Amino acid sequence: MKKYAISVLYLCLVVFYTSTFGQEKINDIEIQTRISSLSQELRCLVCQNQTLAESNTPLARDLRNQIKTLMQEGMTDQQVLEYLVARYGDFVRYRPPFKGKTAILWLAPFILLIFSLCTLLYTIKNRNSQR
Amino acid sequence: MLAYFFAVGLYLNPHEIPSPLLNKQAPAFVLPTLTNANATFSSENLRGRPWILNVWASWCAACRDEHALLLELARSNNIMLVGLDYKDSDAQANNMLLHLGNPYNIIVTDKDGLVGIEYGVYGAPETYFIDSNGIIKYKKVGALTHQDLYEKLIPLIRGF
Repeated sequence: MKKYAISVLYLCLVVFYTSTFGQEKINDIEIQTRISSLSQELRCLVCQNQTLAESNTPLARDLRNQIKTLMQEGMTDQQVLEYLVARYGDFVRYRPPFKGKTAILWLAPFILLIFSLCTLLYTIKNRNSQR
Repeated sequence: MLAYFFAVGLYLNPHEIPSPLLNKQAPAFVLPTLTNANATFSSENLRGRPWILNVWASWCAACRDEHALLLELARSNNIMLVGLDYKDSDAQANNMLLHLGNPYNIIVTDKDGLVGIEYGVYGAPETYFIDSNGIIKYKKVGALTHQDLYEKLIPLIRGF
């Protein structure tokens, strides 16, 4: 009887633990993964060639903490990104968005590709007609 | 074309990140003051008049470099100069001001750097000019130079 009571008590404890702390742990892990994937996309502003995930500067640590707080408050990744861009500008993003100022950055490779293809075709055509 | 890009790149400073906060409302804050850690100061008190926010810390070497200019600014201009002591110890901050002089009208302390994040601070010192409507009109990252003070800040102050 005593043995039985102890197992019931133990079971209760496990259920209690997983229901209260377990959920929190799962949320914590989920937020940690979200922070690390988002901070891969973000630039450390002090050491500009590192991501926010890699950097150990105090500012990077503060920003990661702030991201955590915002996520715990229920912000989505997109909202957190917008929060940071509103304060630090597009520079904080490793992948700059497509807009007027960055158009040349995104389009230049394609323009160059088309231009060189045209030159290539033109030379080949010229060479053939010369023969 | 390449030469053009290189030429432009040569004159750009990669450490000067364009601030998205320019021409936007300055973030509000309520923070403890350096003179009395139990008292707080709210940026609401500054509503209706222009002011300058200077982010500094006793651990920041460049802040010492610009300190003389801040004293000059405070002496020769009637402007509210607010110091934001960024992630600093009160004792060390007070010690620095004792030795170098205090140019600020009020100093608030941002121990955890959260107000710094609101202002997009990424390197002390930083200086902001906020107009009487609460709009950020100027931001300088790094130590103020003589040129910044006389060609940018003072004309802004005199304009109001």
